[in-house]
Order: sequence, then structure tokens, then C-alpha cells
Amino acid sequence: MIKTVGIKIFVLAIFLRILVSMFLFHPDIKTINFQVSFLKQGITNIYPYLIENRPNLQLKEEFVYFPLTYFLLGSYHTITSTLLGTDFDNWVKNADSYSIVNNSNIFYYLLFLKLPLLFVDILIAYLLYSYFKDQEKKKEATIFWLFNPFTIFLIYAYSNIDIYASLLVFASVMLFKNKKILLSSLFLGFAISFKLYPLLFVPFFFLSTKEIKEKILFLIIPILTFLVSIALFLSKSFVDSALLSGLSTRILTPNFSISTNESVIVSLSLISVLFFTGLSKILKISLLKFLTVTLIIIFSFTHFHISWLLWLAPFFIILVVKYKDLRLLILIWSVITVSIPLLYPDRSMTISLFRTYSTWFDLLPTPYMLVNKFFDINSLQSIIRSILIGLSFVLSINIIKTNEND
Amino acid sequence: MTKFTTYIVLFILFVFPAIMTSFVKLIPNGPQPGYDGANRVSIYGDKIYEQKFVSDVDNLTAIGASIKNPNLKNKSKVNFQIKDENENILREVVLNGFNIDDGSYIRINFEPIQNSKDRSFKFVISSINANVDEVLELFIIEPNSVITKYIYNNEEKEGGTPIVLYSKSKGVLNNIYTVYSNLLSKLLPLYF
Repeated sequence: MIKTVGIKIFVLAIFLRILVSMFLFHPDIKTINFQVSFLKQGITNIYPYLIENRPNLQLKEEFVYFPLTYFLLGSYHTITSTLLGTDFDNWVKNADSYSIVNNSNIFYYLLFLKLPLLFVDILIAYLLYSYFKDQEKKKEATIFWLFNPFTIFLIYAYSNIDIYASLLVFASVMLFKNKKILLSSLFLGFAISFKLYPLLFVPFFFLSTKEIKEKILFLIIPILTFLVSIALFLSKSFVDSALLSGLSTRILTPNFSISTNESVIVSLSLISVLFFTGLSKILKISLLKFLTVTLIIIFSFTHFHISWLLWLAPFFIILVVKYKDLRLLILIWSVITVSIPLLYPDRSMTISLFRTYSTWFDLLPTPYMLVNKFFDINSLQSIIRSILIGLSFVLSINIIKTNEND
Repeated sequence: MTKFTTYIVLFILFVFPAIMTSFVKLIPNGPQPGYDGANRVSIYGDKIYEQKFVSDVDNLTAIGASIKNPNLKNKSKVNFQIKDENENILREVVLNGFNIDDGSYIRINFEPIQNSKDRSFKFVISSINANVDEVLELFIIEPNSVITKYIYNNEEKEGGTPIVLYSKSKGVLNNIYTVYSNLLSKLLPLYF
């Protein structure tokens, strides 16, 4: 891969990632590292521990991720903590938002904490490289991934731990493409064990297999893997904090009521249309297209977190390399979709990312506040969302109608 | 694409913060000191709050404090005055309780007071027209290098309400210099 893109280009890609890792700070990375730091102390079930010890903890948030995330990040944190020492441990524990960013070692700490992201990021680049046989397309896919400002900022500015699930989903698709069905279903299960969203992909893997045995594998293995990964942690605290947390269930909103107790979940209805048109052979498209359109539907109808956009990124790279006609639509879709969370009333999405430079920026208005001075922000968001839905519809049709043999 | 992304990343990391800095018009003296929500004083009618403080900033141009307006009942005029040591009124601002949320951080802006650094001042907050059901409340903490004493109910005590003092920015270039020097000072430990 490095030979294909050129060593200088590869080094430049790494350098840009290191810069963004060091300078931009989203508080989630510190909160998560505080929570996973308890693994070093021998705490294996973090969910009840954080709730029971909340009054004595510096950071009070619950751990909203699944056990595999806890063990993976906790193991890395143990290594980092050993290397960086007690000053780092104190920084991770610190709840004071000023002294955190004024710590003279903050760039050093952020770089260390984001190194696993860099490793996974390069792995995804390698998978994209391996996806294509044609040398030119291999190069194009790798460059598109490595020099894509969207993914660089999505991964490193927001310390995006969704990248682990993205890698595993993409690996599962690659294995599926290479007819390694058992491994593919296992990787899909691991992906679900990091993040719940790949569960929505199970029906499409099922649909895309030809033999009954393979279909059964995709019905059993991913869900079984997920259940095994959470089995030891099933408790009220786990269900409330992670399994049914707002973050996990937000994907099933919005909905509209059709009676006092019953409502229709818009995104799920449309995904069901996609599945049943596939099942009834009306729609014959590749697995990759099924998954891409599913995610486009989710982003169109969900109040999504900016980190989620990474779920789509590898699929989009493949599509823009394979189908040049899709490039403009995908670019416009990406710009519009990224703009939505940037207009949320959440400082850490925008201005606060630069707090390592100066806390003076705390006085500046967020894009949400700024726009709201001139125009009703809710109306603007509704307009953007409506445009996005229209564009998503057109983009999905274009993705579906592209020639599979290209 | 390689060049475009490189420029975009470098622009966002090194030029965009300078642009943001140019919009900074007030410089805080630091974070607001922490406070215990239980220790409060009420302001209404003749219950006036006076805070003695020493400014650690020059060109003092705003004071930030957390003010409670329980059930948002206070909709009366809130008078804010800054006095010097000789009780001369230097600045006066009239707020409306209608614009004060319950427990929100309020920044009161006024014309800069020149040569304010290391001078002693007093600010007075009153809401004369408010009755006992329309109180505003201020949190009280121990004294620090800025807040020294407060007077409430004709009684002078140590400490006061946790405030942030703001100075007027010394200009765009000065701000940019300060922000980037701060950045460099954090980067240096990596190389030494």
C-alpha cells in the first residue's frame, strides 16, 4: 500500500493525523479514558461500579459503551498509564475543565490516547486498498481515505471510537466478498459487540447469501457473538447505561404516533422496504449497496452524533472509486450531513475543540448561537434536514441503479 | 486532493484559531471559582449586597457571577453599581430580573475602567422594587485573591460571591500573540 501511494504521501497523511490528534480536543476522550482506567484497578464490570461509586468519582457519567470497548480501551489505557505516569493519571481524573486544557502535557497526552485510532485508521486504508484489484483504483481508494478531510476530522478531532465498529463491519464485508462466510459473520458479531448499529445489517447479510447454511450462519453467529460478549455483564446497570442508552436507541427515532400506544419508526419502515424488495427479488444489488443505503436512511431520519458518519465513510470511498458519477452527489450529501451536527447547541462539536489553544474561546458564540441571532436555528435545521432527505432519496436511487459489473 | 486536504488541515489548525481569536473582545481573569449551592444570600427590597474586591486585571470591563432567580419570579429592575474605595460610583448598569434565569451565569458589561489592576473596588447589587417572594440569590464562598469581603444586612463578612473579572482585549495582534505563545509553550515540553 505504501509503495503504491508513495512513501512521502503516506508520511504526510500520518503527519496530518498527528497534528489533528494533538491540537483538537473533544472531552469524550478524557471521560472514556477515566472510565476505562478502572480496568487497571481490577474492575471488570464497570457498569454497576460507576453507578454505585458515583458520589466519590470525579466524573459522574455512566459508561455507555459495550464491554469489548471497555476491555480494549482499558488495556490500552493500562499501557499508556504505565508509560506516562501519575501526572497522566491525575490529568485523566481531573474534572476541572480549565486545568485540563492548560496542562502543559496535553498535546502529548492527546497524541498517546489517539494512537489506537491511527492504527485502526491505517488498517481501514489497507482494507480499502485490498478491496480493488486494479492498481489505479487501489491507489485512488487509499488516497481518498488518507486525504479525506471528513474522515481525518471525524476520527481525530472527535476521538471517534466508532472507528472500531467501522473497521469490523468493513472487514466483515471484505470477508463476505472473499466468500469467507463464517469469518464474516464472526466479524459482524464483533462489530455489534462494539456498537449496536451493525445489528441492522444482519438481514442484508442474510439476504446476500445464497445457500441456506450461510443464511443460518448469519442469523446465528453475529447475534450469538454479541450475546456472549455481554452475557457476563447483563444487569440493570448495563441495560440502562449501555444497551438501552439514549445513544443506542436514538437510531430508532423519530417516530410518529398512530394510536395512544403505537408509533411508526420512520427509518425502520424504510429499511424494511429495502429488505423486502431485496427478499422479493425486486431489487438485486450488492451487499455493500444494501448497507450504504441502510445507513443513508438512518442519517436522514435520525438525530445523529457526528461520530456516526464514520460508519458510512469506507462504503462511500468504494462507491466514489467505482462509480465516478456518484462523486458529486456523495460530496454534497457529506457536506450537508456534516453541517447538521455542527449546528447542534453543543460547544464541544465546534468551538470547544480548540480549547487547547485558549479558554478565551469559551466566550465566543457557537455556530448554533451565531445563526440564531439572524435566523431561527430550528427552521434552518429543518430546512437542511428536508434537503438532506430529498438528496438521500436521489443518492440512494443512484447507488441502486449503478451497474454492478463496473 | 492531497494538497487540498493538507491546506484544509493546516488552515483549520493554524489559521482558523487566529480568526477566532480576532473575535475575542473580553479576556477573563480565569475560571469562575467553585461554590457550594447551599450558601446563599437573598437580594430584594432593602436587602442589598455589596462586594469588595481587588481587580487583578487592567481595563476592567465586565464582571461575571452566578445569580439565582428562583421560579423566575423576579421581573423587577436590578441595579448594579461599581464604586471605588471612596464610594464614588464609577459605573452603573440596570438589568431586568426578567432576563435572569435561575442559577445562570450573568456577565455584566460596562465601559472599561482604566488602570484598574490591583485597585480595590466594591460592587453593589440591589433590586429595590422586588418583595420577599421575588428574591435574587448570590452564592457565597470563602475569600480569595480577588474577593475579599462582602456586606449584607449591614454586616461585613469575609469572602463573597464567586466572580470572574473581564478586561478589555488589548487588540487582535496582542490576542493572537498570546494564544499562539500559549500553544508553543505547551508544545515545547515535547522537544526538551
